[in-house]
Amino acid sequence: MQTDRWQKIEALFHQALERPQQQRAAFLAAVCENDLELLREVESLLGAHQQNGGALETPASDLAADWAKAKQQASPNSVLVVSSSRTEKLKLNQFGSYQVIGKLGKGGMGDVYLAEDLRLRRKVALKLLPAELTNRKEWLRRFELEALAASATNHPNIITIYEIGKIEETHFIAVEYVEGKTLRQMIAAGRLECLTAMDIAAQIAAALSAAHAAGVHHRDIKPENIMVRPDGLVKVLDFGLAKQAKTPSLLTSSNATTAVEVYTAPGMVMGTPQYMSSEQARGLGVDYRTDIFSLGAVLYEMLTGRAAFGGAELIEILAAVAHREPEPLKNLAPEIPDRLSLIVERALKKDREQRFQTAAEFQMALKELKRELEIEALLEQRKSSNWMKRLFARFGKN
Amino acid sequence: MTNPSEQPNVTQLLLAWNDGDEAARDELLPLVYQELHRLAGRYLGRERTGHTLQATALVHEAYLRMVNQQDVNWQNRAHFFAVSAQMMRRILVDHARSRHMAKRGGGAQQVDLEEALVVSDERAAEVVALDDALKSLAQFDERKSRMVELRFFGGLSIEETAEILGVSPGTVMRDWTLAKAWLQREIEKE
Repeated sequence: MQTDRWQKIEALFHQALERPQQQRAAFLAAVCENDLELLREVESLLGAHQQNGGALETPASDLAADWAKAKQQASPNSVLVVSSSRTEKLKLNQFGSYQVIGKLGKGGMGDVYLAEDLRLRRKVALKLLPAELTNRKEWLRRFELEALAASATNHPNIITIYEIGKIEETHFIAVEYVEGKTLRQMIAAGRLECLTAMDIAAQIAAALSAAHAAGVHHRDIKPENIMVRPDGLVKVLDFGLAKQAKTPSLLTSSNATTAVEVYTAPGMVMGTPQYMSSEQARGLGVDYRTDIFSLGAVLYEMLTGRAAFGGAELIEILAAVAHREPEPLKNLAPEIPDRLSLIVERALKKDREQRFQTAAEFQMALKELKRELEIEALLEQRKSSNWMKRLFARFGKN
Repeated sequence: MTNPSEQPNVTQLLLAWNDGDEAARDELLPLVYQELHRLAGRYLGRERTGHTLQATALVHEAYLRMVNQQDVNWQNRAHFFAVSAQMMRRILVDHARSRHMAKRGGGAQQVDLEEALVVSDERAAEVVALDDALKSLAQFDERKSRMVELRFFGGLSIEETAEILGVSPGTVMRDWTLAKAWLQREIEKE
């Protein structure tokens, strides 16, 4: 690498770090102008910086200690080895009073396992904080806040936190295990029917309404964080980015893994760009109305099968979220009633003053329209069945 | 080698090196390497339960054993640590490499209890990857590469590192942040 190039990268890296998390993307976009390569370079470094405990977090000294310890651990009593988050291997066994059954997936802050609580004989999803993050106060705090944020609200549409604790050196959260599909999986199978989409959105709005009432903003509403049970009940998951209104800026930091999932280059984005509110994308302060925007974007995607704000590059998406209107719903799904388009548009207003002002209001609008549509469908059905009767009657006469 | 008085040449070599005698450094390297290796081997080789190996402790122990403290100043001390860090890197990387290779060649899959060793094997792979990345970094930013060597392999504190490199602790912290991110990214590319 050229020395001057490296110095430029170095300077930008530090300048970006001095800024609050939400402003970094906008800052870099501004200073890098058309130098996408520079932008990507700095961004990926920031992404790596934010990544939890890498190889360098533990000095080689302790690493040698690992070797010594590994020998000790090879005893029949060794229950659990949580290794680095990148390599994710877990010795499946008993973890405290939980019997680990298998791996469910990877969350923003660690792996998630399906386990059985041997005391209460129920299945739980066990989230383990990777060992190397435990030493980092910020992550530990975020991990605990995540549990706190979710448990602050007791609502059927919000995942229930059963227990938070520490076994040996591993911090964990045990949460309700939800069988079903993520909304992402559902959308991947094709766009959803109007009424289904509205029902799911209304349930998410109900969850948000409860969370907001408890002073919690979710801030990362997206299809991956929504589970739909086979019986249609919706559960909002992952309060990993949630922020309690009172809590200072600690939680504004990004969910690096989320960003990585979306881009090929590791990003440094807070929340997930496609579902970020315009104020979030512009690095402005956010309040609970950010969730309303995100839910609008999710509803849009359920109805059309594609993201409201797309783009190949991070900047493009951020720019789209901040300044561009999404393609009108009608163009993508002509069967969508105008009244529903209006609801989606209202949720996606750039100016949050023009959005639904509360999640409850959003929920109400969806519920009412859903009922209207159902009644209309019913009437339509009657009409047609009457028409059929007349038709049959006429044939009968002949 | 247990008694510093039996090993007066290390102190002398340090002093000579400080006076600009580069050959003294070359003579010093194998001596420090041997001593560190011996000390490390004592920890790594035996199953001494309840004991952990700390590079810092190791380097300090070697220093106390090999150098006559009354005759040296902080610069000599800094030099010694710099050399030790470099040697620690070699020892650990060699160890990691051999472990890594043995694992790759070793056909049979590990089962159950042995999987407890997985952690350290992964770390071993990491150390090897880190060593490679550090070589690349050195090509365009020697100072950061040395700094990582001192901090990571030598286990030295920010202050000690700053002293050795002749920069402020603030600079070390800044460099460390960026170097870590850069290396982390390089390692993950593999």
